[in-house]
Amino acid sequence: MKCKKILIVLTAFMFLFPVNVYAETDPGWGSQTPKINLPYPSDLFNSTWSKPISDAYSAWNSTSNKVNVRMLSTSKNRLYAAGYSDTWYGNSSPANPGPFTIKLNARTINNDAYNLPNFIKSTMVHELGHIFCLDHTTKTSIMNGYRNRNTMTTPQKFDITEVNSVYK
Amino acid sequence: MKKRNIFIGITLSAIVLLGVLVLNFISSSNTNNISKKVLISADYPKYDNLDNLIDRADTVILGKIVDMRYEELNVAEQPKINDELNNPGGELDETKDVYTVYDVKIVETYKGGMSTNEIIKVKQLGGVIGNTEYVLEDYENSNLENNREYILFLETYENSPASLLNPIQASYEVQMNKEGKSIDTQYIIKPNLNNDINFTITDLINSDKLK
Repeated sequence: MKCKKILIVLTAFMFLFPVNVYAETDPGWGSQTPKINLPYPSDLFNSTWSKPISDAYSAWNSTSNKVNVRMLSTSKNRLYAAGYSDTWYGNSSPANPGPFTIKLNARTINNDAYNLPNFIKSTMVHELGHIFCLDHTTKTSIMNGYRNRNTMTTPQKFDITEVNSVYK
Repeated sequence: MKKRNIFIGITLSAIVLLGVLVLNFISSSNTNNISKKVLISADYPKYDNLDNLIDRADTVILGKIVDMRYEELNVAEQPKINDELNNPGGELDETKDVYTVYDVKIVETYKGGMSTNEIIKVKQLGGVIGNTEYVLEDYENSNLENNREYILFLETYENSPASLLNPIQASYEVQMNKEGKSIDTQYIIKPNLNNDINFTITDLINSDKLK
C-alpha cells in the first residue's frame, strides 16, 4: 500500500517536473561504423576548395574518439561542391543505409564568408558530424546553426562527447 | 407498415455504414501510401532580427499560397568558367532532391520587382514522392499551407523556384479579418516555436532596410 502511494507521488512528480534528456544524436541516421571513406578532395576540386575540405577530414581524425575519415579514390560516397539555387550551405543524405552524399553550396558560402577557407571547413565538419550521427543543437557545437562559421572550424567538446556516446 | 419502416431503417443504416467504410478506406489508403520516411539534414544561415532578414532577401512579399506540389529538382547551377571561388570543380551534380513547390500569389511586394497578383514559385526542401516522405531535420512543422497568407523572405534564381532564406525564420503567417482579408494593422503569427523573431507589418514597412 505504501509502495503504491510512493509510486503515485513519483509518477505525479515526473509529470510535473519532466527530466529532459539531452542526447542530440540520431544513431539510426548516421554511419553505423565510426570509420567512413570519402573521395580525395584534391581529385575533385581546385585548391581553394580541396584544402579546407581535406582539413575538415583531419579535424575529425584528430579528435580523441573512434571516428575516422579515410580518403579513398573508389569511395561510393559522393561529395559535391557547386553553386546550388538554394539557401543552404550544405546538406547530407542518410548514411544508414549508405552510400551517402554531401553537398556544399558555393553560392551561399561565397556570399556569406569573410574567411572562405574557414567557412568551407566549418560547413564540411558540420556535414561530417551528421554522418557521425550528430543532430543540430543549440549548444556550443559545430552542429549549432548559429555558430560563427568563419571562426568555429573544429568539433567542439560537446560534439566529441556526443560522438563517443554513439561509437563506444 | 411496420415491416416497411424496419426495411427503410436497415437500408439507410447500411448506406451510412457503407459510406463510413468507404471514407475510412480512402483516408487510410492516403496515409498508408507513405511507408518510408527519410530525414534530410541541411545547414542553413540563421538570422538575428528583422533587419538581417530584409537585408539578405532579394524579395520580400506578402503572398497567398494558391497551390502546392512535390517535385524532384536538380538545383545545381551551370559551373562558372574561370571563377575559382564559385566553381570548385568536380563532377557535375546530376542528382535530384525532393522539394515542395508552392505557387504564391503576390498580395504586396515590400522588396524586389514582383507585381501584385503575379504568381511566384517558392520551393522548400522535403516532400512526398511515391511512398516515401522526405522530411527536413528540425523543420517538420515549417510547411506553408494552402489558402493562407504569409510574409516571405526570399532569394530568387534565374532557372529555379525562389527559396525561403531558411525554413523557420523566413515565413510568417499573417492574421486575417472575418472577411478573409489581411488587415492593415495585423500582427504576424510566428509559424514555428523555434523562431524568436517577432514583428508587425508596421515594423516591416518602416524598416530602414527598405528605404
